[in-house]
Amino acid sequence: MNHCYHCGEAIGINCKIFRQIDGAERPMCCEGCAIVASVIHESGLAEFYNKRTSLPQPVDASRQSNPLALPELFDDEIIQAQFLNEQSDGILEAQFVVDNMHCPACVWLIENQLNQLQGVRAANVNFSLLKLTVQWRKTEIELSQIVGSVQSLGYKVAPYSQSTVSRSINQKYRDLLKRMGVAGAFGMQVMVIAVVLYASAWSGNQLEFESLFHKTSLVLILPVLLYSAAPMFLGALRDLRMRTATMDVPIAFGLSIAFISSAVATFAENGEVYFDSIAMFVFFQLAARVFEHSAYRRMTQKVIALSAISPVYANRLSELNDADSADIIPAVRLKVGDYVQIKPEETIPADGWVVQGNSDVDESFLTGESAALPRGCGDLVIAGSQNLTNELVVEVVRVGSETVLESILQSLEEGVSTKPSPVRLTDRIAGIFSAGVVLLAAIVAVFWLLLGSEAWITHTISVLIVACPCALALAVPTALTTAVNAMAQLGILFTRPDAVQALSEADAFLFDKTGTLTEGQAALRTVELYEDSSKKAIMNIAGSLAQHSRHPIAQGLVRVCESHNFSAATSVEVKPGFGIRGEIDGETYLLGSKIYLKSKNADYKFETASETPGLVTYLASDDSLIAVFRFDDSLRDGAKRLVSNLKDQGVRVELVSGDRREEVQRIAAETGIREVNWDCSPKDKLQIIREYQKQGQCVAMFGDGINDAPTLAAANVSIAPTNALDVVKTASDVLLLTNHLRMITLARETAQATVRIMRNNATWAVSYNLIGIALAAAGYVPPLAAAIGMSISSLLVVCNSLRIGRISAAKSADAAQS
Amino acid sequence: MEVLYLLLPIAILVAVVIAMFFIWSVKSGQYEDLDGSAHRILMDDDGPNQGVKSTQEEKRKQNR
Repeated sequence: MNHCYHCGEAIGINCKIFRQIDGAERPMCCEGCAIVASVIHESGLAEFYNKRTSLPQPVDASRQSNPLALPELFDDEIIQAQFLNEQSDGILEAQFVVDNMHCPACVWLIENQLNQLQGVRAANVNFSLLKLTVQWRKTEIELSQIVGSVQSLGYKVAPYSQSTVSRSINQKYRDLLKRMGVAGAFGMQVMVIAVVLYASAWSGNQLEFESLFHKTSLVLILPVLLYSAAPMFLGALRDLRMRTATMDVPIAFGLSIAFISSAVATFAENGEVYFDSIAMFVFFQLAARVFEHSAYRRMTQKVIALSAISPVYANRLSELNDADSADIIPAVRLKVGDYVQIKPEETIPADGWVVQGNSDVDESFLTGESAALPRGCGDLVIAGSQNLTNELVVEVVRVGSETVLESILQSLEEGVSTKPSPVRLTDRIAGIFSAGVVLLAAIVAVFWLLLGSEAWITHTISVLIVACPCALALAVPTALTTAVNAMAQLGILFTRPDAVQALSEADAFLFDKTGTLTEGQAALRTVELYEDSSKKAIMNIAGSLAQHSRHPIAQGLVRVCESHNFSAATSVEVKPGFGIRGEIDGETYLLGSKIYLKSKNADYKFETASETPGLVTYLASDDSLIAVFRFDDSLRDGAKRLVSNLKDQGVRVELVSGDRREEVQRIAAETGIREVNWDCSPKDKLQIIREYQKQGQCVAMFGDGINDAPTLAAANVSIAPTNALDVVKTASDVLLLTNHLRMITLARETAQATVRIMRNNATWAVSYNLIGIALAAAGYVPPLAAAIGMSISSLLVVCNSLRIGRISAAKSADAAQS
Repeated sequence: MEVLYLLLPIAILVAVVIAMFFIWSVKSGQYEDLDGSAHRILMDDDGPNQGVKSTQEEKRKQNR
């Protein structure tokens, strides 16, 4: 068995493509891989094949020649203005998102390839963010050459235009890092001094310079409190103003008590100081927030990279009937009234009326249903849809932000930004916790006062200090970070850490039918032969005709054929949306719908009785029917299991589809879903979700079409498969990189395990605080004991959270076995 | 032990220097890619294909 030299795909023995590389003939699976491998070899970078640790995806040859990726578009000023920076005299800088980067050798390959180019000053790939930064001299090289050179290596390049979301994420990351660093630097010195103080307390000698040490600690702790802990205090203030409580409230309360009592003790030169506990507490807390945020940042960036959109071009005709007058311009330069020529397999660049031609158009990005829609003169076509079969000429009526696509994107962004986060587990108890601590402290104070003890202030303060919720504040962020990272390794990306909790709590699952529970493409279900001939021969004839059409059914037919070595069909004639006619070995064959066949020859005898819903295509020779192919959208592996699994857990499962009643009911019957909605518009879907949310249910939505996007944005937690559209991916909370429904169960189970661990953590943290309070109330907790207790309880919480990684790995191994 | 009157302010100063150094390192983008650098160090040009390295070095000289 041969394997492709570039991508490692298994190739049969009849490999046809070879390339001379490193002195040997290397087999290639496709033309695309061959081109890339030659480029890599010619650039002297063949070392890449030794360095890489994982295999790339096969290079799609059609994408290599795909004009969508035309590097020349990058030279257009309007497009450049979106992402180009002028550095200093004559040096430009741009950032790109690079898709398909799979291992560190890719970083090496891209950087070396670009650094070889004359005029490129620096090329740097950020591997965690999948981002490429290039600096070049504008007099020496054009941007299109740089982009083209990365594309020739088989990577997808798109401009990295910083959205407001990603910019604020990056800013917050840096901000948290700085605060953590400051807390670390100053806290370190406070700790050093604390060691001296503890050592003297241990030996029982009065330290000579005790007051000096205290005052130095006080100075050192100021930046920690005023700068590093500022977000916690601000958060607590905001909570108080809004009369809610999050963890910030008890944190700020504990920090203030500890600081004030220590400061008083320092100046009174009498009493205990807790500066080291303050420093450690703030540092731990910030470290946990940094980890949580950087996991979030990495996941969001991955999704941005996965859904990067290259600039779209348009083939503008300056004279309507003159194909020679066409010139390629970026779609952003189109104006209303322009004529655009759209070839088969191209994306329609703007909304417009068809003025010439007839073709099938795939609008599945809008509807989610993969049916080719016939479009002819006078019909409206929508930007972003795919022209399938024939050339069209379109008069532009809407451009830019007025197109249907853009308006959906805008409403989507609003939906995502207003999405409510679930209230965090610890935030739910923060209010009770704070109130409880204050109440206990009051009881302790009154108790000691009644006893007439002079030490009532000391006792009350130590109660308040051991009640500082260090471990409790770590309970959620540490668990979420571990869960998000562990699941990312399994191919489940959480773009919002809070979605973990929402997923575990979801008690209603809504499924869009096409592409989620089903494959989303026409799959051959049955073949009925009218004549007595071999099925293989029939499939060969059908496939050989079908490969001439881009129609989804024809494509589905080609896909199921075992070998792709079709006999050649001659004088092929395609009637878009209806059928194909061609000659094979001197015989004429027709493949197409009933209407098509009848129009050619009225004598065919169709059976009328066995008409079942779904898509049907006939194959006929000149005078009689040969076979009938029935297609439908088949269920994906594990769909049934997923549904029964969810039902067993008492989750409400419902199908919400824009499809026809028969189709939806068929899928519902096959999967065992009882609640079914058909013919749903995006608005209906939204209505259903809102209804459930009003009833207090936590709704999870699984969908992949743009028509699902508003619903995905409204649902408490939304899941999208990897083959979903780019905008849908950015709108979803959970992205499944592996196309297997098992992943949903896995994600849900891991999410539930995570919430269990968070509960564990919270229980443990609260009981630590309670024990501490009891001891402090009884009399005496030395500062050392308070500090040690705080560290150990925090450490336990962290270790407990780390278990999630193991749990999720074990669950995934289980799932893979069964 | 009067030297403490000198040492403790120095301790504060050291903390300030460390903090400023750290803030500078964050601002200069050294924490942007925590995975790449770890791998990049292993991607040394020590393979049999030395041509790349020389062209790169030439370029570096040009850029200076």
